[in-house]
Amino acid sequence: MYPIVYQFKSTMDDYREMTFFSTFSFRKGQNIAILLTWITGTTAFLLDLAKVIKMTATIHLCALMVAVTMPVLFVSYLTNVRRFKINGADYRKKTHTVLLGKDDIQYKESGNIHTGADKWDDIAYAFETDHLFLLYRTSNNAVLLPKRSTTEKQIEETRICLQEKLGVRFKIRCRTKPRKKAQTE
Amino acid sequence: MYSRKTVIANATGLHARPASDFIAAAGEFESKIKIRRVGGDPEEDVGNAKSIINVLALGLAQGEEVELSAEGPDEKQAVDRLVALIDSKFGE
Repeated sequence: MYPIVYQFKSTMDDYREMTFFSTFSFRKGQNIAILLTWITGTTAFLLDLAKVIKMTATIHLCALMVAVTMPVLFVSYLTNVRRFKINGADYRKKTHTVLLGKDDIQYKESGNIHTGADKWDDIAYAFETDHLFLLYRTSNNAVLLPKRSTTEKQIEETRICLQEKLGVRFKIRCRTKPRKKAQTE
Repeated sequence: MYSRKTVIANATGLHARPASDFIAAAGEFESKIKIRRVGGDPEEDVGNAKSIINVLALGLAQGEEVELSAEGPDEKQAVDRLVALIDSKFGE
């Protein structure tokens, strides 16, 4: 199975999905709680503005803060994507080679003679989304592996590799095909 | 310094498994060994033949010509062995 090799160029869609995931989708339950809180806060704030209900000044301020949280996060996501679109043109032209080995993960970027490597223990956590594998070294430093650059067999091998090397630090955040079905295809 | 050119003959090119065999063979020698894509960028299309990430990053496909060069006490044996390995199509 080893080494598992990914060779790809990053696209805007990859970055968009990674940024959206990093901003909104760490934990499903947490996101639902945040969304419910936001709906409640915003509704309370609007009802208070319309004088349907009466809140104290402190609660009104809290409701206002809750109401602006989601739009601020969304604007932050859009800003990051826009920044990458403008400043990331050179980065998107580069070919990235990432190798998942038995002992470590190695990286190389075209146009750069240097290579990099991380031990598996240095990976804080990893996620699988619909189109990507995301390997986080820290909460704002991730390596992305696009599924489009590889085969269904290699995606399954990557999943097994990450489960083996990271254990509970690897989470699947997308629908995956049942293994038997994937093998028969 | 000793060098030789050859053409990647196996269908999948120098991908994961053949590259693993290649660097394992290169690692048996003391000499410094380089692999270069003939006609490629002199800075970008060259790599350490003992580093799997360097070999894989070249993305060598079937039909591409490469030059292997080595410098050290066993340079001739190293290059000849690696050329023979490429020519054998890595057992494919």
